[in-house]
Amino acid sequence: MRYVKHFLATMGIAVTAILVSPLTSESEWSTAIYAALIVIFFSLFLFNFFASSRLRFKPYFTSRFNLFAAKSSRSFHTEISKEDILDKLLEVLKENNWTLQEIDRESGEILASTGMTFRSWGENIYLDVSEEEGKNLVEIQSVALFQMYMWGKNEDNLDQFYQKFEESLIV
Amino acid sequence: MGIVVNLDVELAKKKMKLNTLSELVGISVVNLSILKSGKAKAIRFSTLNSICEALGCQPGDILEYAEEEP
Repeated sequence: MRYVKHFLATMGIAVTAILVSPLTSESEWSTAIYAALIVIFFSLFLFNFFASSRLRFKPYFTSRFNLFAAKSSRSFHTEISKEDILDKLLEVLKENNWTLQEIDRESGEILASTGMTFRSWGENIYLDVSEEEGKNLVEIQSVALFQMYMWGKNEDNLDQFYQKFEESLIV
Repeated sequence: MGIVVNLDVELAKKKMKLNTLSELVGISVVNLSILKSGKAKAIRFSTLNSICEALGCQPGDILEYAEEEP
């Protein structure tokens, strides 16, 4: 999938370069392609904007086939009970100054979002708590909303979250 | 076993609920619950001080060392 993503990014740059070159910028079909590209990107932007704050669109954003949303994930086990772990995760999210978007206590899922920085338009943070081997397994995913490449911002989010979580266990 | 936290015993002795203790010591219920269940990594002296003050007990009443079984 990574190679497909690199290929698509390269093709995108190549097509843009061809379209803006003086040889093709005057032709009739280039205007139509321009318009189509603008509509596609604008629609994708709008869809992502409205779907990003809904937990039900998690499969779309976290799917490995969604090449336009760069993502990273990590998981860890904890012995904290299921009743406490969700509240603890919410506390850590608050400490990170991330905004809680939605929580489903029954399925153990949380959706939060980070703010916009010079490196990204903001990321969605998906937390999933499940039971595994008598312990709770916390899976955290950081997903960029409008970027194919994140330059390490997703990994930084995961590191920051895990570090804050560990620190929060010092009462 | 290692270090055993007897916070629930002290709470029962004082007939106090976790929510009340949380308000008295200014620590969230979830953190006290994690401490009570022995899942906390460490406890600050300031937290221990506040809990002892609120419950009128000694640190030894809350923390106990139990030898680990081989």
